[in-house]
Amino acid sequence: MKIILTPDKLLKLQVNDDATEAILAVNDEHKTSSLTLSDLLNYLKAFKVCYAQDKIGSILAPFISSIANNQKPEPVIVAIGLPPKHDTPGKIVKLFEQNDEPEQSAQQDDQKSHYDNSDIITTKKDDPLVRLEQPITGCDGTNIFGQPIPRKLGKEVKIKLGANVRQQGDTIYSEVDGKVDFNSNLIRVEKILEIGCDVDFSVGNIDFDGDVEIHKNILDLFKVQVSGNLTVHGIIEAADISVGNDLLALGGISAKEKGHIKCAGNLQCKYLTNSEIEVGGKIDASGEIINCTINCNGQLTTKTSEVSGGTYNIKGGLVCKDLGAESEVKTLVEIGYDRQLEEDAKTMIPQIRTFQKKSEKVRMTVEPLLANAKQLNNAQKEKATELLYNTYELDEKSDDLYNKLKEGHDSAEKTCVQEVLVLDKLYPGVTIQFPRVQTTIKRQIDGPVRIVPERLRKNSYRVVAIFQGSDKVVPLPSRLSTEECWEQLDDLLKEFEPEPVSAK
Amino acid sequence: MKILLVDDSRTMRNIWKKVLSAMPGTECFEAGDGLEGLNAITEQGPFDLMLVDWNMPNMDGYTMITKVRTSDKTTPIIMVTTEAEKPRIIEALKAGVNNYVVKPFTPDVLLQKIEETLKKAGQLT
Repeated sequence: MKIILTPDKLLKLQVNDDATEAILAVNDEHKTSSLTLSDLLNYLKAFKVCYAQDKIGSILAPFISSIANNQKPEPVIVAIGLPPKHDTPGKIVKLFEQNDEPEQSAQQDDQKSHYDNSDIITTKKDDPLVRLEQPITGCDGTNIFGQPIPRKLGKEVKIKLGANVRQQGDTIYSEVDGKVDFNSNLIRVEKILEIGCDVDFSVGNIDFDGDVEIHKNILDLFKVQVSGNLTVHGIIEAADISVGNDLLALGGISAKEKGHIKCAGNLQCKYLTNSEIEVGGKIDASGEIINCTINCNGQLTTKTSEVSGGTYNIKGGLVCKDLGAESEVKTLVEIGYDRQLEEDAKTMIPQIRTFQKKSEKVRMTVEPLLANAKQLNNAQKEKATELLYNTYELDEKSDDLYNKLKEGHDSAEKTCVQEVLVLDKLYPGVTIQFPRVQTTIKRQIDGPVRIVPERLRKNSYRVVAIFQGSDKVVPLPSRLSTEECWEQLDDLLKEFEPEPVSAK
Repeated sequence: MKILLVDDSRTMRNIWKKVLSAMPGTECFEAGDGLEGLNAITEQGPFDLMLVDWNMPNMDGYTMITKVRTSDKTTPIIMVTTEAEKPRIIEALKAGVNNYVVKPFTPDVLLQKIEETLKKAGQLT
């Protein structure tokens, strides 16, 4: 507040700090008995105050009147300036947070698991990341002396573009799928997500479109979903893991019968215990595999350790040092199964047989007609054509189904390996089940030994042990599979097999 | 390829259509007798091939083909009929039929005759 006195010190003008308001008052130390409007306007002019000329008369009237009545007048606002309108500052609007975390109701918020609280922000290619909002210009103000009051200027926002981002207009987009790294100065997207610590509450569940490398452990009950490869340097505990490509578990997997691992590619690991695992490719373990439930589309290998306890469905064959344990723990190994083929055989073979039966029945009706074609009247000839077409359609349907089965069978022939290779010891308690025959080991067998099914004659198989080095073949106590579909499939394949061309 | 199927039996026309579905790019048009066949030629023709039955109500296939050949000498026509007597076959060939299939026939035989006819007409390579 600034106070300016008139030269005769009768009046004072109080001006606020930004000079946007002027108040006229009498100076307490001096008294006057008469002041006219003209006197007051002269004072204001002397102060160089800009006032509203059309209103000043009515504003000052009570002031003049009080003085005339020897009363102390109330201070009066004689001029008001125009405060400046400052620029709206520029800002960076984060779009990825808006995308990933839509507004939630309180109820939804309650339902959100703490495991989902992740600081990691991921993005997809071409997703918008941030928008740069430049400052909005305001306007200067005017003080009571008619001088301009400059506005505060807005600061232009700038951000440095790091790797894998591009700017289009005011928006910055991601060039790749990856993890967003953003601070006030820089924005970039990393293709590989690296976690330096454990996957715990500080990291939260991970759902990443790309490759992930975790330098420590994945703790119990966390979920890690990765579209690319996952490398874990520590241990995977009872976590839920889904990997779109390969999984490298350098510290091993110990899921404590709670976790679930799903890997579309290959799994390479130190050891596997008490885990439920589905692998699209092969499994290569450097240590033991104990008490697991494994579905493996490729080969399972642990050349320096054991596979014991649990259930193993392995399409591409098994190679291990020991199979089972001295304790004769129950270990079920299903080898060389193509579950899809088994399922198809169960549904399609009965359908094929039905079509064949119907076709045969129609053929039986039409054949006598064709034998006497010349004796047939026109209507009978038309009917015979119709019946012939019916058999053609039925045959076509059964051919289509057969071709699908054959395709599945041929593919299984290439991918399924019906062989277990035990390098050291095969213990009692182990059941090895091939699609058509199975055996349960009753006494210890020392390897290296190959366990394979052997076809004796039509629909008759046994399991044999072939000792490497000597090539000695020893039949093992065998039971034929109770599943009829394999036998039915063999019959069907034989039946549809093209006739061999006889040599002249 | 536009193909006209002329037969009074809907079942037979359906069989022809299913057989022809083995040939990609075919579009079938149907007529229930010779008169409808001629109308179809006027309204939806020209066609690349015609399959015509002999015995039909209103106008038989033989009459229809004779009328077609007065103005169109080139469109391939296959007669698919129960008429198996040699003089009848000769009669049909003289009327301008390109090929002849006797009922009852198997789908393979019909397809073979169609392909043979189209090849001769230069429409299949």
